[in-house]
Amino acid sequence: MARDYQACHDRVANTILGGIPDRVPLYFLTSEDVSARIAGLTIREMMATPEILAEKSILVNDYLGGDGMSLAANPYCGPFEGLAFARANGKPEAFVWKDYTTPFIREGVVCKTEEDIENLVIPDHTKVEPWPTIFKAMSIVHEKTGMGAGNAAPSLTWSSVQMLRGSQAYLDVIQNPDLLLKLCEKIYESQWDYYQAFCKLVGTPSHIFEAAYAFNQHMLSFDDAWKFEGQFIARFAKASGLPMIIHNCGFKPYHIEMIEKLQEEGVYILAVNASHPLDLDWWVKFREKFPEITIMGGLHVNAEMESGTEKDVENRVKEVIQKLGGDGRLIITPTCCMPWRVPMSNIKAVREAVEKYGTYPINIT
Amino acid sequence: MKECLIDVQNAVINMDDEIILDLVKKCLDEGLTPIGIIEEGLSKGLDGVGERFDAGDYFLAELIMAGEVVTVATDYLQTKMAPGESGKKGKVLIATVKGDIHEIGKNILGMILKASGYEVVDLGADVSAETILETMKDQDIQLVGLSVLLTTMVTSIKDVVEALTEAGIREKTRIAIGGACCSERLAEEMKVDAFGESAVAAVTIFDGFREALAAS
Repeated sequence: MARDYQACHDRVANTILGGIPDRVPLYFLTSEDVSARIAGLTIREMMATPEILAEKSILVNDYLGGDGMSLAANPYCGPFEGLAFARANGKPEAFVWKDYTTPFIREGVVCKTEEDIENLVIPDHTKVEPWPTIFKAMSIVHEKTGMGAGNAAPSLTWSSVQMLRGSQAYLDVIQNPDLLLKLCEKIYESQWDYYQAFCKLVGTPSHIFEAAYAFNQHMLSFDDAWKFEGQFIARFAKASGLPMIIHNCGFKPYHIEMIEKLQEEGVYILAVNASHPLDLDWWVKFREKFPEITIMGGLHVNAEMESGTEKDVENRVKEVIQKLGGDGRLIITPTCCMPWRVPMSNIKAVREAVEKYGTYPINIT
Repeated sequence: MKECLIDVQNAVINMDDEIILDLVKKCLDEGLTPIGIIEEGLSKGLDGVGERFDAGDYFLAELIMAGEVVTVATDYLQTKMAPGESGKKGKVLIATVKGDIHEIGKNILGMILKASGYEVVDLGADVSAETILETMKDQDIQLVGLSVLLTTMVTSIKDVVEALTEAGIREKTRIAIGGACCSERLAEEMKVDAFGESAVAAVTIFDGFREALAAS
């Protein structure tokens, strides 16, 4: 059955804005793996032209079902910012294309030396591929479906720091924080250039989808996470004047501290898209603390989705809706990117479980 | 315990790369052996770093810095060892699995393992099961650390397990996994021997593997 794009859009928007929709929305984050599998093309074939990328993105999202629409490429597009940096700085070989899985840049190649950071060229996002192709594809998808299909920010600072500087970045935290901050400033400059290109070529977005990977206890202290990423998120939010959805799929996230600090800085957070903690009771407490923030998550891509049975998937969806969905502000989202080995029967099971248990008013006994 | 060894431990804990060599030389002057300094000074210092990491007082940056301090000291002590002495715990093969090119976690693991006395054979990123198997056979390696960050690539771990099983060497080997998307549950599903939540935990895991293999 064809998807009703308007209904999908309204369901998600209504939820994020605090209303009670007809049922709990379901959002699949597409990734290259799943997209290539469904579209039957390699990643490069899918990204060969904006028209192909748009067509296959709609195909993939329609096939998955649910209420989302995103490009048939990595949802936060971080790796492509790495590619743009590699190209702008004459190191395209640092980027490793894959046929059927997410391509990435080799970490630490673009900013190997201090001079590399000093001389780092910011990509012009209206010109350096793959961004023009991606922006055009976003526009086509929007034109055809009325749904937004892309992010108005390419990942965020720490993700780019790791791509460009590699493990040396962690030594810089102690040995050369000023140099690292200089790199962060340049990355911010690039993000702002991206945002302006997005506004020009796609349109003004309603919100920003940000990845906040630094905010994980296994990586940085909270203070360093704020210094090397948080302050840039806050700056971006203030400069754009837009609310944010924060993505963080690390396993020891500083969700609470990060949100409190961002809110102190005046950042309006619409939703948190996270994979961890897996314990739903933790999220019940989160809901009590931040009743106005929508929770996007509930399913782990490597747990129920990849390794579980259809019954496991159904049970998890039921429990998530029971514990977190009663008063809205919940979007079921397998997080983060789905591996290609996720059985299609499990994807179907998520859809069916959301239909079965997620219709408002929620009444699960 | 001699005061100079405590100073070595503290220098590691405080990541003091400027004084570590002087302190190690002082220990040698006071008659301590290179292996004694490694075991009682540097390793115990790393234990202290690990405790602070587990307690949430130290983070990756401190782990790497401390690892560098220890590496500088052990490289120097290697030159002072008698023929036949190595102070090494044996070889560990580390790699980021096929399909994933993220190296930061794996690099940190390599640094900490090296600082802890292991000879690290680092195959890099995006490494196939075949290459891992071949290297293990060629270099007679029993211990393997696999890193994977991408949720989409975890089943590459299974490919390695299957390759070792088909080659008939799985029982004589031990595999640990780590990385952003790994967990105890995943380790169980992939039929590997352990999941390390951090590079610090990995040292304890590989020490345990060595003992288990020696006892078998």
